Amino acid sequence: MAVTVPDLLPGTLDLLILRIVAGDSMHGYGIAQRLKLLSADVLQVGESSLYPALQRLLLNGYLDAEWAPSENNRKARYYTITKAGRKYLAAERKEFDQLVSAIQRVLHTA
Amino acid sequence: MRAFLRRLRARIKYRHFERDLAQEVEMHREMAEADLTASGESRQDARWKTARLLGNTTLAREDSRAMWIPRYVQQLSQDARYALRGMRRDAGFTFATVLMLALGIGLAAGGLGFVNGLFLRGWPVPDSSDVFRVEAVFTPSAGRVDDGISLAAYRHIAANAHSAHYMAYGGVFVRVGTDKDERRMGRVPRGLFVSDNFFQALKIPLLMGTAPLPQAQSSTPTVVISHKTWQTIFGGDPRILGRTVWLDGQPTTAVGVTSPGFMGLDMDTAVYAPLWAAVALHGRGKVSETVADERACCVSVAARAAPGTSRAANASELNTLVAQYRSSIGAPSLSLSLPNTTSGDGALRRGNLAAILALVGTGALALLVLTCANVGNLHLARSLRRQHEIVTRLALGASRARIVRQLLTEGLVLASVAGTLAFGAAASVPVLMGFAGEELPPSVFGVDWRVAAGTAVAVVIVCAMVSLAPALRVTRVVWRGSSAMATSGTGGLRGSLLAVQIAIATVLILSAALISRGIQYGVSAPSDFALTSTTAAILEWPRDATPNSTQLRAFRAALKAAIGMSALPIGLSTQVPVSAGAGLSTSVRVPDASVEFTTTLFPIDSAAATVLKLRLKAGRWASDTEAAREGVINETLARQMWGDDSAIGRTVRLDFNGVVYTIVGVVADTHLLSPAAVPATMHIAPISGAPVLLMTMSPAAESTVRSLIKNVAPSAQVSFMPLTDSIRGTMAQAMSGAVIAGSLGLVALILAMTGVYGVFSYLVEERRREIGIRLALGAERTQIRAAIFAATRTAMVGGLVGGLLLSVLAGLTLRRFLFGMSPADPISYAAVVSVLLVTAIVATLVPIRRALRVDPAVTLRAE
Repeated sequence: MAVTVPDLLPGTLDLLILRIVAGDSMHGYGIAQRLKLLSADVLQVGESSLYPALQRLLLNGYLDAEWAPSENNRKARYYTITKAGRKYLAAERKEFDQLVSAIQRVLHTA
Repeated sequence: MRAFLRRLRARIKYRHFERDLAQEVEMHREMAEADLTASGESRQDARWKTARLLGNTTLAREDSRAMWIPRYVQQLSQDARYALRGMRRDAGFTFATVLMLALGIGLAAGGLGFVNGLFLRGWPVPDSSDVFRVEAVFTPSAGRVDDGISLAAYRHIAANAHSAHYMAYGGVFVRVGTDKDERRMGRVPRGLFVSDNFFQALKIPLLMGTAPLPQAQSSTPTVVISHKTWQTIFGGDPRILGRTVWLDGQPTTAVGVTSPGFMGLDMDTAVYAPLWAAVALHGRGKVSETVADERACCVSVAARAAPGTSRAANASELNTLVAQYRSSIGAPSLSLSLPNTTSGDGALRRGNLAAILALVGTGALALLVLTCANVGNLHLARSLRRQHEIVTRLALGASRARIVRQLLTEGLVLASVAGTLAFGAAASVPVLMGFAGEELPPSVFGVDWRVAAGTAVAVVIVCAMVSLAPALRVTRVVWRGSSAMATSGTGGLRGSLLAVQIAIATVLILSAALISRGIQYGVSAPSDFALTSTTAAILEWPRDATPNSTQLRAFRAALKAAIGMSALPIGLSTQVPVSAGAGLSTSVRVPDASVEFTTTLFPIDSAAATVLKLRLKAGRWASDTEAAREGVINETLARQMWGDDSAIGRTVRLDFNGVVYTIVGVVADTHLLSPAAVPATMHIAPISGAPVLLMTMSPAAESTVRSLIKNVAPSAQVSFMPLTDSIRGTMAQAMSGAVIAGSLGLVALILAMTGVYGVFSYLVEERRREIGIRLALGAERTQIRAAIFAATRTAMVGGLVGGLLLSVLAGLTLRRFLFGMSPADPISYAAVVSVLLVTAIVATLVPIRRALRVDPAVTLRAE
């Protein structure tokens, strides 16, 4: 079952992107591939949601972007998480965990 | 905040940002494609698959961009660019529309500059919003109560007030000269006697020198002259400071010159002299009385509020101080108001300005609506021509709102271009100030942020008026089956716009016609005194032989004796009746009473009354000797002062010379002073100034007067002016009204003609196919002509009838320019209707001729 990301809870895509970039700086295509890989092909993100989300994170100062040569020697735009981004990620993650466990509690008991 | 700065940066580096985004998305696509190729897909398949996977990249880019720049801003700039391209393609339409809109908005902006100058802008000094005037408030009555702030009261206020800095001043008319006896002809300029702190407190800008010096620093009076006085009377003398300036024959020393841009507070002012010197300089009018007796009424008082104080605090402090002072001298309390320093109120009180303003304002507004109707019609025609484009966009899924927004943006672009031109035109309002007389400094009418804001609002309103209705109309698509579709009919809207245009043009042209007819009527109408049969002899002396007042007195006596010897009835006066500014405006009061009445003094002797055929209603004519001190008043003044009681035998004191006169007669109201109105008037024997002789017109009388003057005053020049000529001079203001209404009317006519022409051209274009078919089927040309006329007949007739009805209302408000002529003047109405009919026929003829030249074969082949 493949889920396109916009169907997720709002804000989740931002969270996933930040988590992926938190390890290493990455370009847009890389982020999309990584997401697909880590979710075992369950989560798929198209350009039409990925790039607006990246721009939103840039605008809020959670990401930095820089042009650098890619693995195939073409110039690509690499995204790096900022300090503010890490803080935001930690806070959002906590909140998300709480939310998910709350949902699960409801699903298990009801 | 940080996000805002980033957004701003993205906006500024827009191109850079766009390029990055495009490259990045393209890169993404390439990588996806490369991965697919590597996994064994053919290149073609990889491309298709990638495209399917990634979806609409343009949309992705737009969505990404929208994170930084709100979508509506993106669309607005797209629409604006599209509008500009469209305007460039359609240069003729653009030129005509922008020109018309610039005219309409320009008139509105100019009118706004007028109103702004008169009613919103204070004195032209720095921080004028802190400056206020102090005025005594009285319950209105026929007369004006003479009470207010005396010099002593002002001194008490100025010494004790903390919340504001008070200053006193008083205006006079004064002759300014470079030598003692200089007498300049024409207008006597205005001077202002001011308290020592006046310049400093008001922050009046000086080009050079200082403010007039206090008495302690200079025993001889020192004055500041205006830049204009310096340039015109003193020829821009660079060593003006320290030079002697003669005021009414009294020497003063110039110590300062005001900046070129400063022309006076609310009136053009030539010279500023210290208040303490008013008596020594023989200041005319009340100022010197007030300075001589510091308890006498009144000085004008203004103040600059201290920073951070409210007007209410100023008022309460002032009321306390005035009450303190008045109770100390046992005077009753006085209520005060603290108006701001806008000049409108005063200017309105001074003259016909209100009427002219109303005329200009209404005309300009009407013309703006007319322009909008006209341009709206053009827009409608243009939008219909773009029907195909609009319908295609709608079919491709654009929402109706999106297309309406685009059409509105096009209107906004047009209106903005026109508005910019118009704002430039509004800046030239000060040049047009000739219409408002010379009393107001033109600098008041310069443009400022208020005019700019008003113009911007006008642009938006015009844009909405011009493009909203057409945009809504053309986007209302009627789908007819699978292949045919068309926008719904636009005849109704077009018709209404045409009707509005014709109605407004009718009102404007008819107003112009009525005013010009009124002037004609005013000049030629039978008058209530001997206007047409009387002529005036005016005496002038060469510059070096001008008699002084003693010589004039002797001359007048000799003249009287000589007239007595001749058999002809020759009257004496000091001014020409019904000339511009005839009569001396002053006030009278019952001696020792505190209510004064505004009146116009017109000195004539009994012989002049006979020549002019003035009818006495009661009593007798006043004695011709000065010593008798008798006066005659007209019915209006008698009614104002004593109501229904008899005026005969009562005494009045004339403010002009302070003399008490006994009223011996009441004369019937006549239009002796002005054809437009009958002011409260008082006649006394001519006692000063150069005499004017009045006589019944005849060649014999002229030669008698010539020889008579030759004997008594050989050096004087005699010229004769029939009163019918003199009355023309007084029509100047009505004339300017007629010029304004006439030019507005002409513009309206041209606009309406263009409108009618545009509508007919479009109609013909739209029905070309129908006309071709009908001609091919054998229709007569007259039938085609009738059909086209029928399409607009209702609108044209409706507009004309509506316009004529509105004109009746306009005529009623124009009464004061009509000099007694009825507003329902049949000749004006007939003339205007025929002019409009001829114009309409000319404007429709060309398009209809073009319609009839349609070749059925060509039209049908195009099918």
